[in-house]
Amino acid sequence: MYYRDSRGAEPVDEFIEALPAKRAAKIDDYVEEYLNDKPPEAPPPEFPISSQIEGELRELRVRFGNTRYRILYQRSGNLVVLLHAIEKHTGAVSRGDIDLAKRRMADFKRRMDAERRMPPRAAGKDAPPRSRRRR
Amino acid sequence: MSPKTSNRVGPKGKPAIEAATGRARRSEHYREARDEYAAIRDLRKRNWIAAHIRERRYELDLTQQQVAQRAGTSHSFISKLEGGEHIPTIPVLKRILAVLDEELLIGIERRVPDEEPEREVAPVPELLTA
Repeated sequence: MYYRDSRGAEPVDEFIEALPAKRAAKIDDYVEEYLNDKPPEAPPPEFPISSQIEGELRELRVRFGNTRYRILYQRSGNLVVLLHAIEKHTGAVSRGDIDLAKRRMADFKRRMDAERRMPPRAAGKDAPPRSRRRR
Repeated sequence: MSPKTSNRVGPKGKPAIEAATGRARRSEHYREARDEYAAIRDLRKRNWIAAHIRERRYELDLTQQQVAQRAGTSHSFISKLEGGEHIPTIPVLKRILAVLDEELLIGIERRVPDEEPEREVAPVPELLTA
């Protein structure tokens, strides 16, 4: 599942969407094969498919021809949150990219917690009449 | 952006599979690539080296004919190799991988009781490459 920022943007989806079709298909294939529908207790995909970056933050490693892509992700319970995507040019993922992924994960948790604290909206016979609902 | 506005947008975006389905709906090139990767994934379960060659060739935009010519073998051989019907000899495999800008290494594994297997990997000896 993609991380979505407070303006509604999903950066990893936007990254993949901007790639040529073959490259996008390969990244989607890797996400589907190695990250989707895996129980939380399942071990992460082995190197070189994935590797740990810092703490619970990991990278999915996708090579297309001679180009290396990295999808930074983290588990949150049953969810795998796809946080950041890059084309890799140097030896290691840069500090800036790691910090960006960590900031997005912190934001994800904060907003998930805020959602859980909000009481459920009234529905059915308890809902206010349509004319009184805020637009 | 005010906190009030940011609360309206949840942090959970689309499931990746939903986005992939959307891309497939919009792009014929994407659908072709998706089908190719599905076939490669299936092939990998049966014949890892065949799947690797097919994937690498596909991503370097080379035809089977081009690989065959540059590796000094036939189109039908590459076709059968990628179909999992042929196991190449070491010299032919080395030449095909060289066309794909890769080098063949040979690995040996010894099983050791109660320990991780011992492994050695080395380039193909010169005598075999003639």
